[in-house]
Amino acid sequence: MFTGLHNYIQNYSESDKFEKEAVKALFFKSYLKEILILVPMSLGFLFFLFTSSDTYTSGTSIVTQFELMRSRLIFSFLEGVFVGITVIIAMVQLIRWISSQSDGSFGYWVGIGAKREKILRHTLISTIYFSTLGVIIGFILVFSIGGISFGSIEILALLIATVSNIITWLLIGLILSQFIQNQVLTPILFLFLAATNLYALRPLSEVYRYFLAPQFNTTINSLMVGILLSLLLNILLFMSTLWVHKRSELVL
Amino acid sequence: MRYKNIVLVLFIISIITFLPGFKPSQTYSLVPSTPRSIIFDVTSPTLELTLSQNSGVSINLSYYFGGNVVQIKQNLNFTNSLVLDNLSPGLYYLQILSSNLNEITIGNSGIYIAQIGVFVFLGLLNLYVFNKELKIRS
Repeated sequence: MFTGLHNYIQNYSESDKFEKEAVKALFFKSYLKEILILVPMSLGFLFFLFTSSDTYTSGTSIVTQFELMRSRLIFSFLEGVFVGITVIIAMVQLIRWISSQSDGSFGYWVGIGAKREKILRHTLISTIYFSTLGVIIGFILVFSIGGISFGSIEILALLIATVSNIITWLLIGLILSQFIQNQVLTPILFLFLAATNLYALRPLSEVYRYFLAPQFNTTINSLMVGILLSLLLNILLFMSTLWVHKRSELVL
Repeated sequence: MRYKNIVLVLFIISIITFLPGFKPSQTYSLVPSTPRSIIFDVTSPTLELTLSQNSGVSINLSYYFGGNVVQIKQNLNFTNSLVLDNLSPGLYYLQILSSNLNEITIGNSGIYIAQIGVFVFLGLLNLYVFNKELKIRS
């Protein structure tokens, strides 16, 4: 049994060798991994620390007030994570994605024998891996030094919703960069979309929030609905990104 | 990621944990014979309550833990300032009753010993790893 597992792991690590090398050479050069772990986490922690206290005169019970304050604190942490992630996606990943397609380095890897679909998949997997690590460390900081407490299922749901939201916005950025291939315009447009999502559209409607900001829900039921709907959206976005990407021209 | 970079990232995270020491203090106005309730998040061990005018107030302090509210101080009177030490991190609820017009400033400062321990340990580990790297190169 163990030899079978060992063989499986070895096969997995040896499969897609070109694509992994390509992703390493195209995106994950010059400390992107460290930036993906550190920046969203520390921005979230800063947002968490600078949340103002809650004051009231009378009326609502203390426990309800405590729970409202707790959810406000975790929301400000998640807002910081969202801001950090979208800035990294816009400033690093989209620019690298566009420039690698226009200067022929993407075409070079495809010419060697790497498949486009697998490069996209491994980009997604690596981004998810490192940003999840960052979010987990951020949660550990917020729950230990920040001192707020949640149930373990709620924490898991918040984590999955956050990561699923990160995938959504990465895919939105990639699909945007296929239509507008400009190294200045695309990041600005992407950041504009993300900012309107965070500060103007998220408080407006619940259905919208389920799809594009699932982590900003308080109860466990709405979190579950948000996770399901955003995963559905992710699958659709992944399919359409592949479809658009395969039809675009490459500089070889 | 390489082993060296993992240690460096952990060390930077241990520096980030010192950020709560630079949290700004917050000021609230008090009106006579109306109780004022404030819920705030404690991230450092020392809590300092300072009044702008030298008149007496009485406070109730509670702590929220696992869905329950635990009362720490009840009907505590003080005139100028009050310092509470060794508070565990968490959400606190402060109820203030003042007899005069006044202003209260809530300041939260200090560093936990565990944070310093983690910082020193990771710093030494970093020095060790970088020293090893230098020796391999030379």
